[in-house]
Amino acid sequence: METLLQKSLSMERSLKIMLSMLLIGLFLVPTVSALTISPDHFDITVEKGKEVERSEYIQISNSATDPIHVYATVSGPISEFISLEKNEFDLPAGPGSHSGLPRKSEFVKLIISVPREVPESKYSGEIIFTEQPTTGGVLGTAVQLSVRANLNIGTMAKVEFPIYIIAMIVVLIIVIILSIVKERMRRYHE
Amino acid sequence: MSKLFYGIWIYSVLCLILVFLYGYYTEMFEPKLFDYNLSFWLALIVNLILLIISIISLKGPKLLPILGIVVVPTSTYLFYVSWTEMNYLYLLGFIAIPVVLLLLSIGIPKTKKYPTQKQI
Repeated sequence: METLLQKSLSMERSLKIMLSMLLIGLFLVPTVSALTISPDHFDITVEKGKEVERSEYIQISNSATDPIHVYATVSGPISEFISLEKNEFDLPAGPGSHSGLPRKSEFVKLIISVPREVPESKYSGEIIFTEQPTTGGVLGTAVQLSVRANLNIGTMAKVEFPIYIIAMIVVLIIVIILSIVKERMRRYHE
Repeated sequence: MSKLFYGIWIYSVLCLILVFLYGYYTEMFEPKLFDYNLSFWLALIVNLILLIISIISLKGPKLLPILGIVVVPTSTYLFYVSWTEMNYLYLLGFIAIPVVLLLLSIGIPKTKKYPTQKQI
């Protein structure tokens, strides 16, 4: 008799737990699906000693009807070479998960800078986007989505001097020639 | 003054050669020697020439030799950082140093050698 009562009590408890988990899940599902990222991974090959700006690469969209504040960070060995133009931004409210209307999206520009003193190798890491609801939101949960990034560092890049360096080299050549001409003239007059 | 002038002239030509190597054979600076790459050691060798010439010329007018001694570590640092951090503004500073030194050396009027009391 006692065991039957205990069994019914434990069943009731587990039912309560399941129901509460279902309720939590119902609240969580729209939050998770609000943020979408494209593409889910990318491979980049950069030569040593080069600074490359990759724009419009990662697209972050918001389908939720609430605006979202997103924090972006780079983790792993690639964080040494990749930086983001903006580390946090707001995504305006979207049309809703089931709407066919276009989602509000944002493009993140990646700045890849590889110093010359790096061995030729492959580096990997993740670009993590953390979602923080700005208004509303019953649960204050932070949802994280990440993009896997692989960076291949190749051979040394060819140097491309900016115009001010070329101008300075020309000035130096002119001054070298001018100085030797002036010295010869001085000697001639002596 | 003439010794210093030729010293600065040779230094300027060597700086120009270093810049051309930087532009066309940049990978040659990659090997490391005692924790520093060749960009540091080659810039140091070129600047040591200027340092020696400046110390030798200290007997005459003081401005250029002192300036030469002061710019030696600066110039080495500028070239090294420019190569490792691929920052061309540092390279601009490195090229500007011989330009300024050469302009000063041709701009400063030469002092005439008057006969000394003993010679009279």
